[in-house]
Amino acid sequence: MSRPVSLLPFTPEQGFAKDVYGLLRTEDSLSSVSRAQVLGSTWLILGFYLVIFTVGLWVLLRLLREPPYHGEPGPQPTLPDEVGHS
Amino acid sequence: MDIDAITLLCAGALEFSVINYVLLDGTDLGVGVLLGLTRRGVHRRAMAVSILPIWDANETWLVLGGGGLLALFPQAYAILLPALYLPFILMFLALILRAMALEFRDHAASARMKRLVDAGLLCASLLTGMAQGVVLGTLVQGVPHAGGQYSGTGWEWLDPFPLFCGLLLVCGYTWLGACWLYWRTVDELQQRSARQARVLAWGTVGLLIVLVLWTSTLHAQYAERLISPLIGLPAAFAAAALLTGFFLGFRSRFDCLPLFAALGVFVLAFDLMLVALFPLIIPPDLTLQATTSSRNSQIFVLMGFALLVPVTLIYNTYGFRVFSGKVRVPPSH
Repeated sequence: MSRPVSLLPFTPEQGFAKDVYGLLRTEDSLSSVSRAQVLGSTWLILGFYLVIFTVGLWVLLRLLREPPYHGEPGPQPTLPDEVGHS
Repeated sequence: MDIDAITLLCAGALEFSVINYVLLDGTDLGVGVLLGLTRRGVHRRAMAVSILPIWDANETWLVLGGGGLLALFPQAYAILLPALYLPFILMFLALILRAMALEFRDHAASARMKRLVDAGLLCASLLTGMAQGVVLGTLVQGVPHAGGQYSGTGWEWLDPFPLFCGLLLVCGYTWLGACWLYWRTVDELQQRSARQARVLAWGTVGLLIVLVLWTSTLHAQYAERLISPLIGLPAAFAAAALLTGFFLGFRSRFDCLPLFAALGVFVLAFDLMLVALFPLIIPPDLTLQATTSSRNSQIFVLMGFALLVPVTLIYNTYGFRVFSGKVRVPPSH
């Protein structure tokens, strides 16, 4: 194992300074996670985010669609009791 | 077993973060499970309100634990994270879903929609607890590695032992959740939580006994440590005392007693795991000392811990203080 390269005033951990030009290329610092797991998790994350942001946007637009009106309920007077803040 | 004081301190700092996470977030994960299994809307609302102000601060400790492992024991991190890649990804996605469900359930358009959101909360809480148990189980079981790299198939976490640990942790978290609700709620919901807590206590303790026996068959060192009368007897005595305190706690006027007794059982189980593992960080052979970072990194990170841990503890305590007391939800919800 080579000596850690110091680019900072304190000694950085070997793991932090891995992809330094000419010393260790990104392809040489790959972890041993299998290609199938990386691909699978990528699709999983993309799909999940798509759902989450679609639903989030839908909720947001639904809340925005309702204009303010006279006599709408302000902050709930019962809320302090409900959350146990007495 | 050569281990220097600073490395020991690093291990202590890391373990403190992890146990804090398990105690704090474990409790609100358990509330998430129970909420998803509750039919009445008023009860579900009370359960959500009891954890809404504090659940995200509890998760701070997970970040500290993960960052701490990378900075303090990089070799262990490099082996453990690839081995547990999928359970960690699933856990983080479940945590996102949980946060969404908790924070947005009040904006659900209809009662049916709200039930759907709560079903999401249930699944996410179950998956998070399961994944965390699987992570601990895979670690205790031992992670194959060669030349500082993980060398397994990426699927060891699907072995029976890690899955059993996942089941145990879900049961234990739900137990904590029931104890929390006994403390923080009133009337019917409180009585129901007390009944659930008693049943879940027996379930968790039963599974814990199986876990200790199963663990001692995995490696010679575990058996030597866990079965030895010097460790086994005091542990059994402490467990009996905590359980007595748990059951008697329901008769006292301090509703927090059962929860603290249950948290004590968690601390005991966690300590037993540390005793079985020490000085290993990755069984069967990698020690704390072998995976440590450079002395400068250790000192640097420990200074950060010395600053952050008290601040986070104060922050947590303040949060719990501000939102202490009983939750009372008017029946209109």
